[in-house]
Amino acid sequence: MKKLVEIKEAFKSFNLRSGGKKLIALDNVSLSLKKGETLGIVGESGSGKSTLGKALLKLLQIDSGSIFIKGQEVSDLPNIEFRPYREKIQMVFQNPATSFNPMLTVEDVLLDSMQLVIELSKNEKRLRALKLLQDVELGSRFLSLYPHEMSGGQLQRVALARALASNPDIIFLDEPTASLDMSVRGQILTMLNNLQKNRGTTFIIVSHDLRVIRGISDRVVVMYLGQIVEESPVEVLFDRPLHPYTRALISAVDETDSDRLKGEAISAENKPGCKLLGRCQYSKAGCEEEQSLSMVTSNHQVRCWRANNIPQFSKEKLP
Amino acid sequence: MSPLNARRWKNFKQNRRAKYSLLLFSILSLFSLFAELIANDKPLLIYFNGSFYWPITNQYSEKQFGGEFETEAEYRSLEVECLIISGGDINCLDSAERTLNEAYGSNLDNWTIWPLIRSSFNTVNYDVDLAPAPPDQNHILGTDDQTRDVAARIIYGFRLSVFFAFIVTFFSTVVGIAAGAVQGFFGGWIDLIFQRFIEIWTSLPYLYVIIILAAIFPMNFWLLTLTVVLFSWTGLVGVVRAEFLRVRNFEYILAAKALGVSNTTIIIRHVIPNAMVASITLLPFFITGSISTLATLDFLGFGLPASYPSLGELALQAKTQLNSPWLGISSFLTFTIMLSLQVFIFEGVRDAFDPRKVFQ
Repeated sequence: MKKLVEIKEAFKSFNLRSGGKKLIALDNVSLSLKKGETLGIVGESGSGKSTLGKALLKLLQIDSGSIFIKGQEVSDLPNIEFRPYREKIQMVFQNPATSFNPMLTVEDVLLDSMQLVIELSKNEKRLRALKLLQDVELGSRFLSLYPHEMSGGQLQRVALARALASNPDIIFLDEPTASLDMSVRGQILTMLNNLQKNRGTTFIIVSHDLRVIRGISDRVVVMYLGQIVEESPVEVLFDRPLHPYTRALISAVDETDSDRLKGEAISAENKPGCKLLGRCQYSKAGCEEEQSLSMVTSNHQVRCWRANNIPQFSKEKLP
Repeated sequence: MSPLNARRWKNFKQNRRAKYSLLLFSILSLFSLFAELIANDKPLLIYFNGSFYWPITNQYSEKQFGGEFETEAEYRSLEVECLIISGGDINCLDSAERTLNEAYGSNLDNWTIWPLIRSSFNTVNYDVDLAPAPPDQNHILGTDDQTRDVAARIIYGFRLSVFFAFIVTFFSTVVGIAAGAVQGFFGGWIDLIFQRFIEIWTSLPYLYVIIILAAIFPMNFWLLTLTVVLFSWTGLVGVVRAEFLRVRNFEYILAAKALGVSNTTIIIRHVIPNAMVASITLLPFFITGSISTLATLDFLGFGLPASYPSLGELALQAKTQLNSPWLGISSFLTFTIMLSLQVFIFEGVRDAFDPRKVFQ
């Protein structure tokens, strides 16, 4: 199948205020996405997941590397030439409370987001807004409501409706369920599944919650401090996780301690070698060498030279 | 009216104190706007020998009413009143009172319509023996130390104060929001340099600047307005800048950027409306502050020239003439009513603008 999005060797760093240090948010990230698939991105805070999304939407300029949308290189395009691509790719933000202008009603928000679809008349836009609300399972009464009059789950549905308004091919969901409670989380995920079935939209879902990723993704990318450490189809990843970091994430879900990491993520200094060094219980001499992403099987790659030498992951611990 | 503004208006009306304050303030402002028709030393309309005269808009010499002088008629004098009523009887110039009484007795139908108060803010009443004169039927609030009618001066002074306050507030707000927006939205070096400039600027003692300016230029209304605006716009910058810094990183700004909305549209549609609530919170202080500034300057004698009707000058007289309490009471009540009404109104406006405030 044709590749919808392709990111090649993207690199992005931020200057830190103190001492001229640099924080590396994206370190040589490459990934590609086919139409209609759902890509899950897992990783703890600060691993560059949101930066990846912002780079994809050109809300940030990457330092080097390239991003292709439908085969067209877009990372070097000036903003004005990128505009046609904006309706193709939309984003749902993490925190529903701050992703809405408190002065605008749901109707204003949806009509505003349809400004990319200029050929519609005002009445058609209003009908479309109603249709979008139906798609995210909200009634027409929500049109006249302000953000503070809605719950987090309802707001996240409206955020999704806003993202769907320009009929995009790709939606980047940045922790869409992080600030919602468990019962609402399930409803949102079911709705996302239905939407994908009906519309064929490609989703990129970012989460640190493996259950969310497992329930919805086709393929999973695990990120740690700006690097992709493991990538594979979802069943393979949960069946046979190879990277110690992935194993730690998975075993953290059911609170078994076998693969626990020591300490906290070390700030992403530009040192070669495994970034997990110092936290990993399997580390050995040789880990401080530059690690590269290598194929284990045809669809499974991992950034750990010892991946096949560490003890097998015990599967019965899975949730 | 957009639904949002309709909702704000509804919210404003829910606040009864604000609603009635607005009503009362509008009536007072409307009256003071037509101060010339309420307090004036010229009649509104004269019917003289078969034709109408409009002294407020047109100038008529005494000669036109049968007198001697080519200058504008002194309508308040007994002689001119007599001339008009008697249809130009030359005897008025010698024995006005007697001729006037005769003229009232005859069947001439000349008449005049006077405003409610028969003096303007600068009319000197030579009939008053001892100034300041206490309230009587000619001067309902008495006169000041130059025998000018206190009620007339209050009506004109109210208009001047409100006009001054609104102009100063308007310009300070526009300049303040623009400066704050630029600093907050762009941040970085622009912000840093601008902030240092404002720190230096606000540490200038504005009273001295106004005294120096008043020594160089003849002070007038617009020069005073300009000077006060120059030193009051900084008050809003901090709030607007903080609001911009806060709002510009919100995800709805990112969402708008993701939709390809331009910076200008983002500022106008998403940032300024949200910064408005904070600015509107400060507005009552700006308005009451400018009224107080004007009064203070007038009180100190550095404000408007003596030819302007000034409430601050009335307060100064009240201080020097403690044995004439009507001066102090009038100026105190005027300030109290004017400032309280404005504070009540803007409290209501602020609450109505706040989208998070819940109204029943």
